[in-house]
Amino acid sequence: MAKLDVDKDLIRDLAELLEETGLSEIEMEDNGRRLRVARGGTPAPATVSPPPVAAPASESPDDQDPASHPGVVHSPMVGTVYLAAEPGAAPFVTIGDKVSIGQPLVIIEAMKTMNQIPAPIAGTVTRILIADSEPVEFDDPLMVIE
Amino acid sequence: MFEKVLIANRGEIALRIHRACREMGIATVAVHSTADADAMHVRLADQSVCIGPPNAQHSYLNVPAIIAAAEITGADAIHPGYGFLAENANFAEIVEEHGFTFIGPKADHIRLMGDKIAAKRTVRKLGIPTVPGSDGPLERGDDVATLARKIGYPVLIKASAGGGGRGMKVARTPEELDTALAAARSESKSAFGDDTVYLEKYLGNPRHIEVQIMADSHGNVVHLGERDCSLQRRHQKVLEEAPSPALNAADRRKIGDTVRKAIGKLGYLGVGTIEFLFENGEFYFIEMNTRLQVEHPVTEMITDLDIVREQINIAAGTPLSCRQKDITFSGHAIECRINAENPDSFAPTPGRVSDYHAPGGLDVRVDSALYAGYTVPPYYDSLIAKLIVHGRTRNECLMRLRRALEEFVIGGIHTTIPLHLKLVTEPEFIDGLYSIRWLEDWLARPKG
Repeated sequence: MAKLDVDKDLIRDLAELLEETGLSEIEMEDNGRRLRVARGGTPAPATVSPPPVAAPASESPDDQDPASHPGVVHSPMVGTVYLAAEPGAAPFVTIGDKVSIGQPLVIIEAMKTMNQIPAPIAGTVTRILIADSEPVEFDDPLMVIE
Repeated sequence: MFEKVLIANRGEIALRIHRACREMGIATVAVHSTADADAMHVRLADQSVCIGPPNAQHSYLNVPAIIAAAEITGADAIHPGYGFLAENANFAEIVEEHGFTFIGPKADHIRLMGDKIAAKRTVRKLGIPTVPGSDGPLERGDDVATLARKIGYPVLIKASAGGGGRGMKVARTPEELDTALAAARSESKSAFGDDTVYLEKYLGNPRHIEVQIMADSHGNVVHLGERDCSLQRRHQKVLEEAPSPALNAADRRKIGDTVRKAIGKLGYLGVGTIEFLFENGEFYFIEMNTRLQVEHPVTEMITDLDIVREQINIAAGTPLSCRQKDITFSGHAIECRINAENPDSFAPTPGRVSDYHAPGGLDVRVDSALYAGYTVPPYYDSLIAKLIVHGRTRNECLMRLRRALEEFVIGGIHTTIPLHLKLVTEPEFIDGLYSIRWLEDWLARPKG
């Protein structure tokens, strides 16, 4: 292997450039040789770890992922979900309501037909995870009944 | 032109459609079952909608879910891919009734070609040669034995509602006729809900040769040459090539023109494939597929046309990009269908793909939705990749195919790559001397 030729002048120039510009690192490559000059101290990490994922606004801060809650009601179909039987009417259920099996919770509209979605279990509605007129996919968590 | 297309399919073809849309600046919506939430095309699509649980009945065949997904995403057209609802005339109608454009032929033509007896009658009137047969359904009280004798044994009893090789029984001698007839009727009833059958001459050793056509809404119909799909196992195509080693330029021109004129008279819209059995220099129509086919890439490789793009253009009312005189056939292309199956037993092997490395290089194309870490679900058909290779000559193509197969790495599951590697060095395949029975015979030969 050829003896490495160190161009001290170039390195000094680069170091000055770092000072002048406030950069922390300069790297250059020429003819297969690469030169990197960095300021002293701990090098900046190559990747920045992502900030912790913020909890979505609709969820209350004190709990687990609602989709895995045993009492979650999943959407059985694709469509647009409505919380009331018609615009302006009172919602089928609100938080705190006690529901029995089969009681309508929401309506999902698809292909111009309204489909009532019944409660699969009896209990108390503790969380409502969708907003009125929102599109829903199959399996989307709608509510939590405990 | 459409702003947003919903892709009503999965796997490699969904990715294919997404790619064509993306290249045309069209936004895509990927509908998927829960089992396909991590599919490649779902990750790449502009929007995705989960439409149901893994089983196809409740997801990819779930018409209301697909329409609802189109509604909530504001799609303006739906591409059905192949299989699933692609040849479901009711679906095509429902799509249009709800204000979306169905990227495919008119529902009436889908329905017509789905009825094998009506299809045969129609194409014969349009000048396409057909297999001699009963020319209609076998009615109870018909003298089937006399009819069979007139056609000449062996005869084939086919389900009118069948297709794709299903619902067929052979009677080689008059003694076998009644049993074959009863079996065909009962199988057809349970598989297709309809026990209507018809009779055809059974061809001894034909090749399967199909012709690709495209027809736009401006009266332009073109044929894109033929594909030889004779290598089949249990009526499933394993490898396809274009052009067919059995045809010369004159044969191609003749059948191409016959088909093109017939489709023109039919008033068909979209892409389609007319399938023939070819024996002793004669073509015999078996069925027409009113959809995009799995093996469309081999035609793309020799004509330099993007068939999916043309399909989308046709559906949007744009003229075809070329006229017949502009279409040239260059070189040779072969496609290997790679399945997640044991290459010897053909048992399906779903599971996690631990390593994935696709072959590359000049004229090598891989249509696959695989990636390292992807889990092939057990709920759907086993096709996981298509390797398509082009060469200036068939020989160059074969050399390149072998080279590409050698490079292909799909780790963690069994695949049929080893089968293709053996095929590619098999002298009878290299010589192009094979018919539709060849592959099964070859597979049955004792090893070693």
